[in-house]
Amino acid sequence: MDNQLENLRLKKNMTQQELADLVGVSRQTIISLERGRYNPSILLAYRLARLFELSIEDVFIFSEEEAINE
Amino acid sequence: MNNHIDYIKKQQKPGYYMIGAGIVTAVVGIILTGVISNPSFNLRIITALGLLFIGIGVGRIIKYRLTASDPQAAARLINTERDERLKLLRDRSGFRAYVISGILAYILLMWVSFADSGSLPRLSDDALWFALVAVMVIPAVVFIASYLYEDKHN
Repeated sequence: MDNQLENLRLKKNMTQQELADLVGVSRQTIISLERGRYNPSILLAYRLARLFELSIEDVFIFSEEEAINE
Repeated sequence: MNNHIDYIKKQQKPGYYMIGAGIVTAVVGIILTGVISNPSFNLRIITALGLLFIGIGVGRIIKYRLTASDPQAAARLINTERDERLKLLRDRSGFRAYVISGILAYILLMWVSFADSGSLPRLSDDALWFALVAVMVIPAVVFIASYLYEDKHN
């Protein structure tokens, strides 16, 4: 799933490790999320969106086609 | 952060229990080796089992003690242990290993059963030992390979 995570993180001058620490996951998970390889749980998506003071839809871009192929 | 340190300290406890159980088992093994003159099996196995328990316990304590004085390191260790993606990778890899383990155990069971009725050649002791090792090692290899694959693709 495409997302704005890397852009949002860089705007806040945060490292991947800092973001990982704030949302309670490993750095590898942040890397996978930024590369769009891993789709987070609703809980993690919510935590990330809340951290950037945005809605989940603003951070993660849902694609119907991608969901079908999954 | 204090919660993290408390969690780390709590996680060390099973390590101490393991060491305790290991010492008792090893001592029992040593005593039995001295007392029983003609045992039906090598009693050193009991001592070895005790040493294994001690090793597991020490390993667990070291793992958590290394982070006990550093709240940030403790938090990161907890984050890694509870990480949803890593849990998913473990679950998927574990399931694949479980399926392979079941298939191998079934094949071995069928072979031994058919060999008993003369439909298949009997496995020698060595062949049976290697087959049992394969039943244990192949699922572990599947787990590791699957974990690495999932880690690369997820």
